[in-house]
Amino acid sequence: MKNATSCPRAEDLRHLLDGSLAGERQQECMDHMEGCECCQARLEEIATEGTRLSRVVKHLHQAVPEATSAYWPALSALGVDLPETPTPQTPTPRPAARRRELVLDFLGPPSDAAYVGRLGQFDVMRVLGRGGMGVVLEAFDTRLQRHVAIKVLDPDLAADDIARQRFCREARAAASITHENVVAVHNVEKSGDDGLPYLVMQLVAGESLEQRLGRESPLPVREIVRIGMQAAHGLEAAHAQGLIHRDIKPGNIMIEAPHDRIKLTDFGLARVADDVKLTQSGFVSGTPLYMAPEQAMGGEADHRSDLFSLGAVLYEMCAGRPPFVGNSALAILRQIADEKHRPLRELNPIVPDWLSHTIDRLLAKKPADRIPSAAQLAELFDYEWALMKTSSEDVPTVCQVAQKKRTIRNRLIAAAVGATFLAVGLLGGKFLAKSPVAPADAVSSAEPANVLSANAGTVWAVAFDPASATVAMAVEDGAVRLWDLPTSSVKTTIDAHRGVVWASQFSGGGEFFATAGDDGLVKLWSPAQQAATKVFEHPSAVRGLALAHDDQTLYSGSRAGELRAWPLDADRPLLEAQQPGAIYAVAISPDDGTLATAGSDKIIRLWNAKTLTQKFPLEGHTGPVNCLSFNHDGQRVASAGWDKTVRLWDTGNGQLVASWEGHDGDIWGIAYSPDGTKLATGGHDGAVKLWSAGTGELLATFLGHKLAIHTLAFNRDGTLLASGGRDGAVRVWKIE
Amino acid sequence: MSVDDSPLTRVSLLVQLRDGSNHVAWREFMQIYGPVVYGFARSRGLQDADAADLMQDVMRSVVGAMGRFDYDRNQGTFRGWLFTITRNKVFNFLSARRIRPQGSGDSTTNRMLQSQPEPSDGSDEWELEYQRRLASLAMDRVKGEFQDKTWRAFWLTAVEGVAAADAAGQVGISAGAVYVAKSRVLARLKEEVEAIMRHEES
Repeated sequence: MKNATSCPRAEDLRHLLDGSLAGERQQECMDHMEGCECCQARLEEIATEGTRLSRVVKHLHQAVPEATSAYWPALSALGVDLPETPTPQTPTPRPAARRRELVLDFLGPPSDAAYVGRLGQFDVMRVLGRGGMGVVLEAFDTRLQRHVAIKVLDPDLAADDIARQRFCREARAAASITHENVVAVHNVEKSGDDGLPYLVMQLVAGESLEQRLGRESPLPVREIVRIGMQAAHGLEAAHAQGLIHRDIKPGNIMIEAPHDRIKLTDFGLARVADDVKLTQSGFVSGTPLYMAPEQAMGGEADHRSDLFSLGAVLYEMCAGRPPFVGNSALAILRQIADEKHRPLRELNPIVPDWLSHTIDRLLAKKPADRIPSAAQLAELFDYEWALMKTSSEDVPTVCQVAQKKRTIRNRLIAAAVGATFLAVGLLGGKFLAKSPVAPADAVSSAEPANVLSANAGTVWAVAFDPASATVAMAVEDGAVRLWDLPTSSVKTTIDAHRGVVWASQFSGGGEFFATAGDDGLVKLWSPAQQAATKVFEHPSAVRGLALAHDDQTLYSGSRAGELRAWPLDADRPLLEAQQPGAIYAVAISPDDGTLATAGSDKIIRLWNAKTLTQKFPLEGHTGPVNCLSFNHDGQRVASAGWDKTVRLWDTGNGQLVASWEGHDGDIWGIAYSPDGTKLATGGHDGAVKLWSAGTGELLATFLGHKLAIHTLAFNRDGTLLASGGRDGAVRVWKIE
Repeated sequence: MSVDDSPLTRVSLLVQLRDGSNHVAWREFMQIYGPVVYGFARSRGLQDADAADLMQDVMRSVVGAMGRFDYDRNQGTFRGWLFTITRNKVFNFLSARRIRPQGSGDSTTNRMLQSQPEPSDGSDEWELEYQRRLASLAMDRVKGEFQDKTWRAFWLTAVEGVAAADAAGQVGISAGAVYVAKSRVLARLKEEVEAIMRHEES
């Protein structure tokens, strides 16, 4: 027993934990620990402070179901393929019953690391989805210089001659429809080697009605009428060519940004997959929710079957659920065949009579009892739409009230669902929102000027070069990708860091840019080169980065709270400072005089940038602070983070100037416009919001990201705003 | 700790879950909550296959409820709601077993049945399962940050319950170093668990 030393102080034990104790003292403490039960317990207590972690981890190797457990097949049955996450020392092999891996072996090698592969003249960027028929890819047509969607027939189906022939025939027929409410099919091609057929079609920027209903359901009446009207027109055009869709459902109705134009997709293709499955197994897979009775009973579909399906979709938009629901496909099919749907007015009393009646007629069991053609349905909608437009534009003031009430309610009601329903219920169906496209909040209908996607993971930082020609994005997989903005194509992909790239920033002149990574390195790059021109080493992961405007000094902040100032021509830091907790953001004032840091300890710190001596702290946030931005004259710094609030501080006296709740979740990105008049924020809710920096008034909300936004940046003249985040895409928005 | 005292869980994730095609959200969700539901069912006495079925059943209900908006944020946390669903299904399962004549007559099962309807009952186990799941995910994430010896010292003592002196022998470091290693990993795990929870509850 080496218990000669006295018990170390709590502070020493803390340092022992974080490894910051000097070598000699550390050894002493370790030796002491060996014989002192009291200190063993104290150390563990400090390490797990306020939690029951010691108890929780005990026997944790049994926490994941065993490899032979029925849990894993059950999980597969739910459609979940978990990535391999072996628990330490007890790897859990997955059972054999996994879903078949997505095989993209029909693709040729990619022309750039940013792409997944190549198919004919197409650079394939990513997989958009996977359906019963095959896989859907997003690709860039190098010959025609445009983005397209490609549907590739499932190789299993392609092995079947009939399916193959039918796929080509249906696709060619679909290509013959030219209508603004039908997704354009450009051509049908076959891949060179194995003759696998694929369909090249228009890439629709936007979402499907299925996704839309996922956010908001039921929809406002006006929106239902607009969607119904346009879908009916699309069907009319197809039916005029003798083409039956056979699978009208929310997933096949696209809502194209920016004007929310409705486009029908996948004409005739459902049949290709079903025929094969029917002959193979006797069953049709997929959802029967919108299927017409004659289809449900195995009969032949005609144009009136499409009308029934559209009726079922309209019903769901009004009621918030499809007309027939059940626990199994069989139960639904039986209802479709035998039962009358529940009257719409019982589920949603504000649906106008004419609409409810129209839907009833579309849902007639006998095809002969339905509205006879899509043309007649379209005409009916046109008429009602014209009526609605005139009546609602008569009452603009009420509309504004309605809009406002909805906004407030949305803040109160979880998930913003059902809010419209309530507000509409209060105000009457007539006084609906002014704009048919506004989902719920004060939303800008603007579509992004560019969507730069195809990144393999979360985008943690985005930066414009001074000329606004190149956008650099820091990606979770360690890559930094430089995009050429005018052509929306990848210029270069740099394998920049091991682990996440947390930050990237261009120099004032655009000659170089800096990146920081989870590997503790800060690197400088010339845009033209694949190798770093300079590397600075930090002891721990670097989260925040700020390049002085004179391009002489770089500041970095790490997860361990280390703040360093590096002259760009030196190998060692000139100045070092330390703050408690992790640093998440570093920003520098326009005059290069003041540095701001923020992180896990909720306090924003201002530092003299020349000496790294601390000025006053800015306290008030109730959780970690994720992001910071100085305004144009450096008099203000804006901050936001976990507590959802946006706060503006006076950098002269440390006073809080303004604060408001910005998003429904964590805020991850904040940026002052270059002229200091506007403030952009991006959050966990996937929304980009633009605020008046002076009044805190919400100017616009840009929707498009499906997942959390982690970074925002304005270009030099403030006309463009880039947002990036968890969905792996960067969207560039035009700012007025 | 009650299951309802933390801020609500990830409404944003739930919204994404409603979009059935969002496999990322669904996978993330299942990665955390699948084992929690399964583990809880096991802790209530269900056999492996029954617990797996129940997990599947609960998750289908979750998806269904997303479609019907059964879940109201103001009613409590998502975790609490999921607990209610799970607890009810476990109760139903055990009740069904009770009325079957060939069902288990043993007193443990009966006691369990008696105690099921109590609203507070099981919430501690539920919370523990959740904490264990978070800790397990955190371990996966932080393991790579430590030297092999440090990790093994932690694993042997904190997880497997091996005495420090024995672990020291197996790993080849001093017992004092074993204690420090164990606490260092615990401290890092605590940080990571808190990070996951913040993410979860945002």
